[in-house]
Amino acid sequence: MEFKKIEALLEKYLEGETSLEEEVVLKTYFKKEQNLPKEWIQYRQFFAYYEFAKNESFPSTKIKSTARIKTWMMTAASIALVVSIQLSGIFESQKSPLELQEAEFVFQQFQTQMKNVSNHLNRGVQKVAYLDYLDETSQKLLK
Amino acid sequence: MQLTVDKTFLNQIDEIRDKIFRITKRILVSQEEAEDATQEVIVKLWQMDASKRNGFKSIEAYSVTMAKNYCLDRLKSKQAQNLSLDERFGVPTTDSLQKKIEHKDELTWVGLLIDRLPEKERMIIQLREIEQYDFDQIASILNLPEGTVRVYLSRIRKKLRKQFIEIQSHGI
Repeated sequence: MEFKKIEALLEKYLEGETSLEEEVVLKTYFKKEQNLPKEWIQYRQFFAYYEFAKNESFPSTKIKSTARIKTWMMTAASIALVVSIQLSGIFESQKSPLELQEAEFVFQQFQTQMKNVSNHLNRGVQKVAYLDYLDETSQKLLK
Repeated sequence: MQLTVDKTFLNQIDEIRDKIFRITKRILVSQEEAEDATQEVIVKLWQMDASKRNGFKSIEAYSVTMAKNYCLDRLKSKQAQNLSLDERFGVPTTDSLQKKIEHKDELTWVGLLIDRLPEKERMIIQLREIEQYDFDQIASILNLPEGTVRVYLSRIRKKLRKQFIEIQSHGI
């Protein structure tokens, strides 16, 4: 008997014709009925989700004024900054001679490479200057 | 500075805040954006004259309409920036949806399916199935005829059911 009633309600439900009260009947049925026909199982999931979603509330930590949160964040950030600068200073002074040597070596390598790059660049510039010269002579010829 | 504390409004605001949060989250599909949108709407309600506030037939319906308009404006400006909404909000594409579903329980599937609907359909599902508003309330919030809301709702219910069955039959 109940099965027939629910079947009719579901049909109305899919047509968008059930009232809120009828939808409550459906929700309660699907919540407590254990032996659901296989083709009705999805309704249980949907109604369960709707009930679950209705309980979601605004995160309470966010209710504080955002301005206050911002000041706190700024304070925290500045403290972190100062601490990290201090710490990096300590680590800097603690570098071993070996590390310093290594750093110097890497720096030298970097320097030579940059020199190479700039040499190549200059060569490029010379070529372009030559092009200028060509242009000039061709202009002369045209005249 | 004089603050007139309106007790009834204070009581209403908590409930309204949660509702607005759920609705904005459904439209914007992003927790963070929904939090911002909710704050924005609540601030606007606070700044309103008490006399104006009390003049509304339902402050709740008014706030929900305001939240809806705010969200739609947000979405529009996102589109104007030429960003794909899906990328912007991390709405799962079909591929990643399949992957996500494998690891989640069935309750979450339903949520994912709903969040993939177009925004108008998401709103209708939220207002009817979750917030349980009457058709005439939904119609006035969305500025649509009641009949259209019913037609939409029927279409969405059928569509969701079909999609859910498809997912199940893929044997995940």
